[in-house]
Amino acid sequence: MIKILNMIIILSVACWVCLSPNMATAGDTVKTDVRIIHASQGPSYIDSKLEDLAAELGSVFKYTSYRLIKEKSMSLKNNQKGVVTLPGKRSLVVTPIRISGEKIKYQIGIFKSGDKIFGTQILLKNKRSITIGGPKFKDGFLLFNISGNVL
Amino acid sequence: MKKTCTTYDKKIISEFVDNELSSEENKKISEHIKTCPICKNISEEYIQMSNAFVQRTSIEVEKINTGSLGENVLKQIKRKENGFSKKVFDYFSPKLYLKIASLVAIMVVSLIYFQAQPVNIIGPSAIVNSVDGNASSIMILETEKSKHTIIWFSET
Repeated sequence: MIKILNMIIILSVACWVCLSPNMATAGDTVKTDVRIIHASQGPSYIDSKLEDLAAELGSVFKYTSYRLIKEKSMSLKNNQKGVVTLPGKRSLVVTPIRISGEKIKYQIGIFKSGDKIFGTQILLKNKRSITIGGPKFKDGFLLFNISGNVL
Repeated sequence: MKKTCTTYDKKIISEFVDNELSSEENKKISEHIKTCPICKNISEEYIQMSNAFVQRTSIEVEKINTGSLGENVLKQIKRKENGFSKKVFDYFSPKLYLKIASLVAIMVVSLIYFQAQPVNIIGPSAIVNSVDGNASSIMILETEKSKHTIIWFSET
């Protein structure tokens, strides 16, 4: 009986140490999800995959339509570039340059025909996202929603 | 000056009165007392002292209410059993399996708590360290509800 109890204690302590987020060691890979969204003032439409984000964006923008054009999920290591091709000869390059348990430092660049039109360095909270927008597309604008999750 | 017996001392007489001697010695002294007035007086003194002691003790014992004494003792035991100190004592008593079970329960609860923690939404989702490129204007916004960070730029 005592032996079984001892085993339970050891296993519990091991699980607790391994799974407790405060004690978990930071991984060196970050799952980076990029969603390319077309926002416009056309007929009211919200893509079912954007319901979580549309409500937030709706509080800031006056767009009535949010369409998901493309989504890409990448597992990136430190300094590993993730490239997403965008409409209009544009591309998005996202590179995690420092990964910690709580925050991810990203270098993000948006290029058009090879020229950098916008670049930024951000510190993103783990499991959260940032939206970058601005390039004109059709009758609206492109938005890039980038989220990071340390693995 | 008191007369003393040359055959037996007071100690032997005392032991005789208390019936602590062997039957042979007892017999000898018993015979001696019949003929020796000194030892006879001493033995009578001792017998009187012994009787007085027994009598006094029995009077004091009779004063004690044994019925209420028992009740009081039982009451005190009950009070101790139900008291806070008893509970505290029981909690810290060396019942190993209870301690282990408590430890495991605490660990499991804390584990569930940590794993179920929602994403921390206090503060902006991202901090913009720097921006560059050929954008003509840049705005940094934050939504009210979940503090979602938005960067808006205008292409040249």
